[in-house]
Amino acid sequence: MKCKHLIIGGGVVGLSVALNLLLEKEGKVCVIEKSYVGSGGATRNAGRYRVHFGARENTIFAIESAKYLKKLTSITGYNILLTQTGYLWLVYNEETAKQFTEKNLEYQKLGVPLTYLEPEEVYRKHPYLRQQKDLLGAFYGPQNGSFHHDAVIYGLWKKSLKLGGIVKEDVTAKKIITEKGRVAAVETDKGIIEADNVIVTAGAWSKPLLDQAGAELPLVPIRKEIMVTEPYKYTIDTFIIDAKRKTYFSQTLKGEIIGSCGTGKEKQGLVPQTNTIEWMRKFAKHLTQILKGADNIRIMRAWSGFYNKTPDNSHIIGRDREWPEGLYTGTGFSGHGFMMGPYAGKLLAEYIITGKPSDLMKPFLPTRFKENKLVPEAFVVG
Amino acid sequence: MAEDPFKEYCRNGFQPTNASMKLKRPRAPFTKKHWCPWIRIPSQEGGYLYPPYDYKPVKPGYSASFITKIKHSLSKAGFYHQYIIRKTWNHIWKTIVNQSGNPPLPIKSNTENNIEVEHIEPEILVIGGGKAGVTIANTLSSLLEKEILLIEEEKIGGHARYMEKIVVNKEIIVMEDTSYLGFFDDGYLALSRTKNKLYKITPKIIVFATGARDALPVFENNDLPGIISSELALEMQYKYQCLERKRIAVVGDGDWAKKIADSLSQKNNVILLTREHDGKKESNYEVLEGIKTLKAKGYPRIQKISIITPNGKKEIEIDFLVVATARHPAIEPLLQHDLHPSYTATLNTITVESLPGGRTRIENVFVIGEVSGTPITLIEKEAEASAYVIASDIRSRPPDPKKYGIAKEIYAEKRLVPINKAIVKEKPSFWYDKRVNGLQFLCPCEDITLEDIVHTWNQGFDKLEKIKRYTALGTGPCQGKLCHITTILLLSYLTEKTIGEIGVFRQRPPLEPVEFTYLKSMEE
Repeated sequence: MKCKHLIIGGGVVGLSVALNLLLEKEGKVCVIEKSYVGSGGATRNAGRYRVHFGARENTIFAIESAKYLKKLTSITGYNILLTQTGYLWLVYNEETAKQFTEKNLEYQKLGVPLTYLEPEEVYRKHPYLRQQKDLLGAFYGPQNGSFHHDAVIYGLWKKSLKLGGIVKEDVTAKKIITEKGRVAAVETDKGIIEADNVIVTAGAWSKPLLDQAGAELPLVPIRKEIMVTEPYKYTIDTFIIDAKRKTYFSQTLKGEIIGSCGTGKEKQGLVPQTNTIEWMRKFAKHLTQILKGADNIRIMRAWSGFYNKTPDNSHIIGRDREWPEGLYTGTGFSGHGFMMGPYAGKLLAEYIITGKPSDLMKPFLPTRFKENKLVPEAFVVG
Repeated sequence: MAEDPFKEYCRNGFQPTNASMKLKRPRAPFTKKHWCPWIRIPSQEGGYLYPPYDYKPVKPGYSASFITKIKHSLSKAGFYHQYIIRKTWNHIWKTIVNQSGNPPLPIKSNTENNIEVEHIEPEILVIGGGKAGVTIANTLSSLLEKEILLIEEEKIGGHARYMEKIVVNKEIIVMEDTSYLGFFDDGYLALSRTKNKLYKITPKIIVFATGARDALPVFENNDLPGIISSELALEMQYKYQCLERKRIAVVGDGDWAKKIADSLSQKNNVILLTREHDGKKESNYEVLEGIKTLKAKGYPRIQKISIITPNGKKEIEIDFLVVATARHPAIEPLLQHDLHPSYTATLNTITVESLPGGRTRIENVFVIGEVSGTPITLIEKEAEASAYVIASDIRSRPPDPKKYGIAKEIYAEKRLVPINKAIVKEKPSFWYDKRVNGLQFLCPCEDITLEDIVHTWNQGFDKLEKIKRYTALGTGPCQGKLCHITTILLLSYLTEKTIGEIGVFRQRPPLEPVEFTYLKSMEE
């Protein structure tokens, strides 16, 4: 088989690259996926998006990403159930409060200000929260919200198929074959596929493929756990982040409470995507401390997935000139892959077509590590 | 301790306890397990039905069934992606979300509890105290002087205890009323709500003997209250004594259905509906043979059934429909432990890959009994032979050739077929309709019907994982225990694809819903 663009990884980034290349009628586009579409991080995330980040570059990128997410329903024909429900950061110490206040100046300039809430106001507006004596206040970002990740994936996938794209599931890429300094083909477990461009968007599974093709990037998968409860009437009307406990939770539109907490002991590398008793008990403790009546709420299902982390916690899109010609990547999203993935895919597709990175994308090129122009991101949830 | 509320509920006529989320259908327990969506049994008070604080009875009336049909056709799979919904989503989402029949968050409750955690390191952990589990534990304890722990979610013997006496050796540590919650990186987890104890278990060897459960049969209105599993019927008759002088129809083929009909007919007026033609008339219950299709009628609970027999259409008024059509292996703990699914041609259902003697591809994990696809008559023999295999494995010796020979014979009886080669060619025995449309529920937690699944498949969602995500099949409180195997078998039959192509979905922990109060860590 021969394709012009071969995308390795049928997750949110890969499918978005595929769709955007197809929308521009840029030749034959193939996507290979080792399991089913969206089987990696794309169906394992919490389904939330935010525009507030620690690094200015990321905030700007996220604002544009949110705009693109809002358009996605009409592009793909699949309702992604986007709802602007906001994020609420509960703050317990002066230092964190100061960070937020300083950052908020920047957010105000960018048109996405946070609102500060006094503790009384927090508990009046969110009566389901258990009162904490040491709460200093909270910052509310109404611009943020939720969407349905499966609908995003299925929309991108179905629309790509409709436009003539080829999406092959149960095909595992083994090796990127290069010839005379440019990519020539990809060896898979089902045969060789020739291609002019190879785009690696395999999430946590990207590193081995890129390394082998001579594109070494500092990527480390970190396994994070998450759970949902039985469904309840929609009450928790925003996304709650407890800065002290490193815990977040929210309610899905279906009514399940979805949430998790960091344990500081997350496993690294491509370990099995299982769960730990330790994490589950820690999260249970935190949730019962924050949410009223959580003792009686039943946990229904837990799972885990990877944050594909870079040293600066910012994503990588594009290519390095020293790589084989025709090799691109969009990976290393460090935990905010789904909210930024669709837009990153669009930018990457544009870059592949024009050869020029847009201004938004420039800070995130893979060359930043050797040039030491990092985009340090401190706002990583969970 | 207060009287078990289930008894009272049952005496009051087994009325619906709740309405389903999507279609607001009246619902009542199909089985009395913690995972059943319409039942809740927290420990302290002994139990209450779900949800205790906000129960609104469903309005009776035949037209309601008609209305659900309209609701169903309006909200079939892909409802949210219809043009009108997606165009107006920003304005209507709150209305749609508030339409859910979910109970309110229990923010006013203040039940709290200090859970005790115990770390146990037995040599052998046996999960499931049915016949297979008890036999293997007994045999192992006679062969080895090692610590053996036997966990049973209810009482030793399972439902078989109502029909015969089952005894466990004294040397075995038995934990009854203990739920197995699954396999985690840092150990196996079990919970006893009655003792308020969480057990973290790290055994050297684990034996799964989790048995099988009644499949929810598929026919029109198969979700109505009053349609109950054979296990629940036995429990109601023997444990709660609330199934007496009732008109009961037992539906199913084979010995199991006859046994159930026989047991229930001691106190009730029973009619057995079977597809078979047996001709024998010596039983103390009525038999209707050669039935072709089945339909339940009534609102808000089952009132009668309509069947088509070789002699034409017939309607029978009943109080309960007891299901003994097919038994699905309880494979969730095994899939969660990463064992591969397999098809058993003998029982026409899905189990997991295993080897003679209950060995599996994971060295210290064994699987025996109904869950491994063993026919009921061979369970005890298999468990005994497996005990010899395990004992010799522990001693690092080859197993006794005679015992291993038996194990091999029984293994051959299971006729395991790799899922990549297995296509369901015969109509599954739990399906009692000719058509795929109508209100034939596969997943009553999320109101997903056979029609939804076929509709979704036809749209190109050709794997169970994708169907699950598109329709929400199997994402309710039972986590697929009622729908998983049923859906795979029906899809394979209808599409003529192999089970491997359709695939199974991943099973995630915990294996039943657990209140946070039992899990929360007490450490600072």
